[in-house]
Amino acid sequence: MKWGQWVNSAILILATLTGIAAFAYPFFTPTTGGSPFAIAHAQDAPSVTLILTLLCVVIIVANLTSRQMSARTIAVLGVLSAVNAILRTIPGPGGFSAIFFLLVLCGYVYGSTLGFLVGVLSLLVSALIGGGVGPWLPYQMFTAGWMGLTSGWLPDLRRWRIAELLMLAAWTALWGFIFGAIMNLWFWPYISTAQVSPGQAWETGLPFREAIKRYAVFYLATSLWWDAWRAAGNAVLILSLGTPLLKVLRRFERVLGFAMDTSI
Amino acid sequence: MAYHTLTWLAWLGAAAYLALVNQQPLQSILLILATGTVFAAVSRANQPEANPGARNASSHAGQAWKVQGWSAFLRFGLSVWLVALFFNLLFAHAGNIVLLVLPRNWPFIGGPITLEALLYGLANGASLFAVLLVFATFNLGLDAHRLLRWLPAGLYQAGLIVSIALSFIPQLIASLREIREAQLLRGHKFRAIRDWIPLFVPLLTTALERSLTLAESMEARGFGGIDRFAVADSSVSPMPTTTERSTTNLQRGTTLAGLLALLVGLLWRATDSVQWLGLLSVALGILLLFAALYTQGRRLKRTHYHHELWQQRDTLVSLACLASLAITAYTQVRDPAALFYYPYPPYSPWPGFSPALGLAILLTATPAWLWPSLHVSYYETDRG
Repeated sequence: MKWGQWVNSAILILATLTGIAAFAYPFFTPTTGGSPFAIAHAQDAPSVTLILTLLCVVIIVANLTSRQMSARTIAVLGVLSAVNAILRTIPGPGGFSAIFFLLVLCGYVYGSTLGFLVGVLSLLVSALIGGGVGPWLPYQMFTAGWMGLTSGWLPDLRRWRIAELLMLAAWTALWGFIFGAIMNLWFWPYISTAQVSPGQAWETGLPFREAIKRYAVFYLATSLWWDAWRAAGNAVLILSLGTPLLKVLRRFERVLGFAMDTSI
Repeated sequence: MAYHTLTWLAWLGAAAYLALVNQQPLQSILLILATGTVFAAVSRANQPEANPGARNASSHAGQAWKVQGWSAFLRFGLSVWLVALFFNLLFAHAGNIVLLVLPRNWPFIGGPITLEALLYGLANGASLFAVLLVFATFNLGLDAHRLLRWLPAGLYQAGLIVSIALSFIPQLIASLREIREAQLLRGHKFRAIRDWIPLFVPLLTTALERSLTLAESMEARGFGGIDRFAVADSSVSPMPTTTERSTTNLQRGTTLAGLLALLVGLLWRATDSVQWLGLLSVALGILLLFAALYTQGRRLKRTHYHHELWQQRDTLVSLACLASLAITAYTQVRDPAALFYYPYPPYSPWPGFSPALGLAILLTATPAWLWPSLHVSYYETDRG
């Protein structure tokens, strides 16, 4: 199935690029401000972005689940998504939510495909039970899916327990920051200069490097501390709960004997 | 439930589209009122005392916490609006119409307080709150299982996974409580983060064991035929037939072509001045992706155990929502200024109001006007 794997990867990468293009769509508003057309262009941005990103997520999921899956794979995916969704709803101190650590562990043990699906579906399930269905959901699903997917790329260090734990903790912390940065980018272009100080806001026609610099300032000023708290919390969870949870997940890999057919 | 799932989807399309594109404050406030009426009707129908004789009283009682949760969420949204308004008023000193002047030597907030800043804060918050309210109403009006039934056939496995997860969650919460009680009885204390190991590990183990039981019962009922992917030796497992393989290839090819067209179209539209070519490419891409989804679903034959009833009021509400959608789309193409609002100079600070859009907004309130169970419940409470 080498050929099929290539096609799957191509679909995933193309859909992600399209998602990013749709995501970056508000930044491409024409520089000729003032004309009615520029206004129209700026205005269809939120809905265009939303619909196209949703379509991209749907297409990836449809492609990954296009072959008949075994009952065991389906059951495991359902249960892991449910556990992850519950972990997200458990409120922690200071807006902390434990959504990352089990997702990273699942991707690491069970591989990229299952990691992607668990990421996407657990965010969807937790939105459905917690009532978080809104325009932000497709981005969250996309980002969480990539978090699970890339966790499957980590080297298998099961011989060196300490190194494995440290690697997973650092990885979770890193993704905590990336997740926050991507989620902020969603509404950043819509914040006007009036709401934040001028050095941090998006303006049309900004050169790329200046835009990056401004976004970095905005990120440092607003969301860094939240994200740092969340990243550190999830890393601590990995350090303290990682070893026993990895043992459980690996045992059930053997007991259930499931395998993903479509691989990326 | 009062309406068909497709009716709710039409309503979501019309209302969310309006909420996402509209910035004019008067229209936002009208939209909040219209959607608020629907929200009130939905939350009244979800209250357990509203339908005492309902057959599925237990499921309605389960909805009551959802109403409370959403009301709290909306109150939170309202407070965010107020705080943002206050900040915008104090920190943005742009605009020509000065209401009062704070002493210049006060840090940050010193300077003129303008009417424009007030209006902008109000308008921004109103359009944000309208989005929240639309999605809150949709979440409350339609439960997830009914929505999942309308997934495209090609996505049925993903839908199955989500409905398994949704029905597992109450069981998992119950077992979380049981494990916690058992550990407390043993004298375990939950203090540091390490003390959570005896809670999490049994929870994950129970959950995965339950998934094994579930998979066995699914296989016993004939789900998926022979479990060929669980068999490691590929010579034992039956190979996919040629028609199946060609459908898969067709579907993957269409998907790739669609994604390419979409990507090229987006980049084109972003960089080039010939806008309609990019738009055409985007439309072609979307069409191809839908075709791929359709091909994937065509292989499956779907049966429904329970059919939803399509009633006359569903027709009326759907038509109203489609009309509203059409008016909004027409306005966005022909008169985009009717949706745009920016009070600071050089634009005028006074909000406008377009009667056509007002009509489109009022049309989204039709679910509340035609709501069936309200009259019934009044009648029943009068009798009782």
